Amino acid sequence: MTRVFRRGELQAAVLDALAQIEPANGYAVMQELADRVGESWQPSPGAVYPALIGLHDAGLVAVTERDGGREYKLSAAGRRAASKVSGTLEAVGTRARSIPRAATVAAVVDDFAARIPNRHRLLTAEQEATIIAELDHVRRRIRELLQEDN
Amino acid sequence: MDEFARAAFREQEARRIRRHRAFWLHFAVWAATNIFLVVVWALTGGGYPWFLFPLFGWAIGLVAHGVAAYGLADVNDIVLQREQQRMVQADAPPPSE
Repeated sequence: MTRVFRRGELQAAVLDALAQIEPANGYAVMQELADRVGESWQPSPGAVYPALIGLHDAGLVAVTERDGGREYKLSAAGRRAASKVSGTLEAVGTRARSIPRAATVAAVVDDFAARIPNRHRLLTAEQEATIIAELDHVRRRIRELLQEDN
Repeated sequence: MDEFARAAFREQEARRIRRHRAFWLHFAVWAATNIFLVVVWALTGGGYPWFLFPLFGWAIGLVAHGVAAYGLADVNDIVLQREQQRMVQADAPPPSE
């Protein structure tokens, strides 16, 4: 599986997201990441919270307690760092969208073949000819469908 | 600690439990298989203890799995652990002396 985030990139992405929506709580940061990256990444507090703590430890993010919740904001150093990594979310989103999805013709056909009952039974010549003719028809339809798409 | 942090700690805990369970499942499969091999060895008249080869060979993998499950932590685990220690220290009453 292709990784959406490269090593250390999540922190940069969090910084980039925070620069656009600060001040924000953890859920808002996570939501912004999810919206910008897209469906191929499943966001979780278990990944985003450590990234926020890492940024806080590095002095790039300031934390204020408010109504029993934490609000995150960029510090002056954080703002400078964020300007260097602006565009990270954009780049990650573009990469995430380019990851090939599982639904390919091959995947659908393999799945279809695997689910045919009694698939190892021997066929008569007539049965074989009939099945080949039917599959030829389906293959032509798939080819037409894909050509329509281009 | 706010709800987001609690969710992160819960997730870490769930991950830890899953990791430990996977290791003990591996251990159970290893033990069952090797007991079976020892029984086969005994029932076929003992002799050369060939069952030791799969037993120790597989044990290398089992130990590696155990180290990964109990010994090694990923970066996020280390960060959360440190944060938890910091919170405990912040909540602890000041020393009485």
